[in-house]
Amino acid sequence: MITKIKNFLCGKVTFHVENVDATFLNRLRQYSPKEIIYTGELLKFSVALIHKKNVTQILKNHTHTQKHNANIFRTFEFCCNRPLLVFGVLFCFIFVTLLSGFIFRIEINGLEKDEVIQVQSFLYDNGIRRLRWKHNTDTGNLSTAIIQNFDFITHTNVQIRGTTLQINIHRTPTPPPAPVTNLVSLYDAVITQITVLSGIAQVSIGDTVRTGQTLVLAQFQIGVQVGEPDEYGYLTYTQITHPTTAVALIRGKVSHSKSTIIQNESQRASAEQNLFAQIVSQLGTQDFDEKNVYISQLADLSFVVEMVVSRVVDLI
Amino acid sequence: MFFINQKDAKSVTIGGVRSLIDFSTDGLHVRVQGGSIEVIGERLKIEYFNSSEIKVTGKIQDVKTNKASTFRGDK
Repeated sequence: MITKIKNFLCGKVTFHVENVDATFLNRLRQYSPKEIIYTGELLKFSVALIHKKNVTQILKNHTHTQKHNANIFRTFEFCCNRPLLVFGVLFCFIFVTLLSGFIFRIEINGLEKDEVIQVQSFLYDNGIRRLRWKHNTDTGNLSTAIIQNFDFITHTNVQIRGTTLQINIHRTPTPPPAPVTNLVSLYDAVITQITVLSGIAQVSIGDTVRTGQTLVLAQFQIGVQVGEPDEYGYLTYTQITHPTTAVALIRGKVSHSKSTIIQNESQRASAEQNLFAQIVSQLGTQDFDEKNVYISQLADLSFVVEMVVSRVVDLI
Repeated sequence: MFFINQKDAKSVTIGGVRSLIDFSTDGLHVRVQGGSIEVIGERLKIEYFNSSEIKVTGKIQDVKTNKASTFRGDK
């Protein structure tokens, strides 16, 4: 039965032999010739393609022609005559097919190095590791698990390409850090009131500050325990600074001054009025908390009249 | 028509042969007028084969006919 199947798959070759006796067929009977027609001068028969070489060898001293009808089966004939080669190729094919069923490489794209390590650790804990049978890997569930486990991941695309498990990760866009700005003074002033709600005060009441000087740092500090308690039970702390938004109420006394020269003291009243009018026109308000006039005499007996007007304003 | 002449278990002669369908050491299959005949045996050899008759020798175990009436006896 196997021989018949093999002969069928190998196809057949037809020989036309001239001037031979019919008993010549006895030499060919081991090759099971078929469709034998003998006309006295011409012997026609067919044998399986696999026997073509041997029959041709027998017919080498006779005039003959041959015609094979199935080139498509010549590969099978080739294979039948080389069983070791076929077995080797088949073995390699099965071996490679089996190997291609495993995951050999896990590729994670779209993350920073430390985040990749986190994801790798998560995958390892969930059994996703190298040499895993890839047909047991549910990429859909894996994608969902990664998204649920990591807050900074919004979308993942898990796919198996060959023997590589490819995980493309799209991060949650990091919000830009809130602007950290220190509170600075808008005027040259003397601090009269300071209440800090958030931040670190850099000045205190009575300090003289210049325009642009930092009044409150937009930071806060916390004490963090360092190490274990010492032999007396005392703990060691260190200060760690964190940025924050500075919030404070700071008021200060701002002074505005104008001066002029008068020749005699009778002009003092009008000079004061003029100076005050200049200050008011410059500042645009008459709301002042304090007004002082200073008079000094110069060497040529003229007088310098200086008016200093102060008011308390918010410095920030 | 065809005929089968088998005197003993060592040879058989078949007449009315059109062509040989199959031939091997353990079997011979011939097409005859009206059907086909199969000879089963061991170490079969063709003694002679001409346009209408074939003689086969060897250890003949059975001669089967297919779709053909059988006639056994001397030619």
